[in-house]
Amino acid sequence: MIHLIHIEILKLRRNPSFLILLALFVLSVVGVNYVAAEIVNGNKELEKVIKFTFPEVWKSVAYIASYVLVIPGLMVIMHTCAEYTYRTHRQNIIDGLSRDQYITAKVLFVLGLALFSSGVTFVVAWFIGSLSGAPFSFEGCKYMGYFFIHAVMFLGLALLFALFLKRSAITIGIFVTYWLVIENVAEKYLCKLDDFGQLVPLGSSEHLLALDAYRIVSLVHLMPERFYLSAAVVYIVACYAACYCRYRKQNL
Amino acid sequence: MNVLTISGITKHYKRVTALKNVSFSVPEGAVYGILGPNGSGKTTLLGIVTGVLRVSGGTYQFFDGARPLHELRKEMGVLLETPNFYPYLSAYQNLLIVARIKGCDPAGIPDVLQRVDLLARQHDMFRTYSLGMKQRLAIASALLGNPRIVILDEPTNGLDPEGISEIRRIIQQLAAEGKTILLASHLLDEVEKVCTHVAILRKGVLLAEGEIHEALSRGEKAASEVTTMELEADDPEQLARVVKGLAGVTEVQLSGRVAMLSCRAGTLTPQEVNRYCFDNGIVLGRLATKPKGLESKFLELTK
Repeated sequence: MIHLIHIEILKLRRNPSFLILLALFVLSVVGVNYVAAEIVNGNKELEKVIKFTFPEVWKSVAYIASYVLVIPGLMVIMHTCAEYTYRTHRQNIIDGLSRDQYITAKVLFVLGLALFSSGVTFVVAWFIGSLSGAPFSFEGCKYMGYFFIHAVMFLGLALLFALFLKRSAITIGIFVTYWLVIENVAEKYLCKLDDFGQLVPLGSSEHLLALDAYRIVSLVHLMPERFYLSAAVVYIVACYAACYCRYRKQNL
Repeated sequence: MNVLTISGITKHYKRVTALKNVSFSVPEGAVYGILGPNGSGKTTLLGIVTGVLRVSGGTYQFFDGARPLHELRKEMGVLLETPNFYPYLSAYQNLLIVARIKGCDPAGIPDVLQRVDLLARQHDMFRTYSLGMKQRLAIASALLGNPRIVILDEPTNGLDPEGISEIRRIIQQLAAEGKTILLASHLLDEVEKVCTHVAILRKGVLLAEGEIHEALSRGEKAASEVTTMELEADDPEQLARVVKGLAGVTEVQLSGRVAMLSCRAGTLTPQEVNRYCFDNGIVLGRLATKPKGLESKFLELTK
């Protein structure tokens, strides 16, 4: 496992696109949350919707950062598709990685990125919460765990799309369209049939983070958290299993 | 002992059948050439045995088949089609990734780069390399870790004559070290100069295989084989006129001062030709029997 992580680090540590996007992600999480906190803090009307003081800051920062996850999503897609473009994925197999090892290396990369994103979000939430002057509290810190689950799902789906489509531009286009349009339309349609319609792949983990105000506006009938959590875990397992199946059967 | 045994390999790409029931074995220490025109299935076959293509039918195994294929691939050096490297990394950094995958000592990287004359450029980005340099880096990568088996698919692509000669020297050196080499090429001269064994493919079908001269002498059209002799004398035109009258001669072509005489194999010996010329008042300055080239034999088989 360490051996696979080391190989991925060798590929990425001098990749300028990867490093620039990583820096942009950190700046975006810090910047967007800082600006939002500056606007909201002290505004009684806005504070009814979102709060950047402990303990609510964990949930608020996680919710906002979930939209910035699109940047690590791009990193996953670009890194995976670049291996197809340069044909280095097949060279890795020729040189002695098994197909399972290759895809495990990619899954570890995705999990590492999800962990890094969660770590950045945690630090930013702590920092923003501290700025408000409210006493520090770990209450509501579970939303950092939910953020990690959402990141694992979001980035895993990006990996799956990249493995199927292989070309960066088309994968980014289809993935973003799926995330912003297709899934929302599907959710709205399915919710007309039953509340379980909320449990679409990305939506399940997104609902774990959604602010109450958002849920009210989107007219979603709230379900117990355990439903969203269970659905997210099932989708994550299915998504990563699909990644393995896809790569095992592919002609490289 | 056979290094590789291929049994009834078939590969379909949707409606196209790229390989049809191909079987042969590669003995240890052989330099095994896989010959065939473009689209004959050479790269598909190598893609299957290197694990990048899924087989539609048949089996293959390295040695006794006991070890997992990906573990065996770490002991192989493979150049398949094009050089595949990360363009934003240097030659050294790219080979470092290969060394980590193979589990071999990165201390060997400078040696293989030296062998292909890239040591001075080892820290330059791969994307700044010329086509020939990329090809040489791919060969360096294949040599990393002192592999037991070397698989090279068109290794001289993009190389200048000096580079081609250097690759030929490396292949001969590897063969002398006892390594088994699989070499796919459509450059017949290349194969003729370095291979001990050959398999000839056409449209996915194996036409002949075995030791190089045995394999080429098989085939339906082998009976019509032609022997060529090169003759030189003071008066080449008179020489050409005279030898045309010799029984068994099928064709005489004058090329500068050299008369090229063709006859059916086994019908004329050099001694008979020499005596005939002398009896007709011509003293030969040179007489050489030219063995039939691999190219013409290959064209006969694959026609």
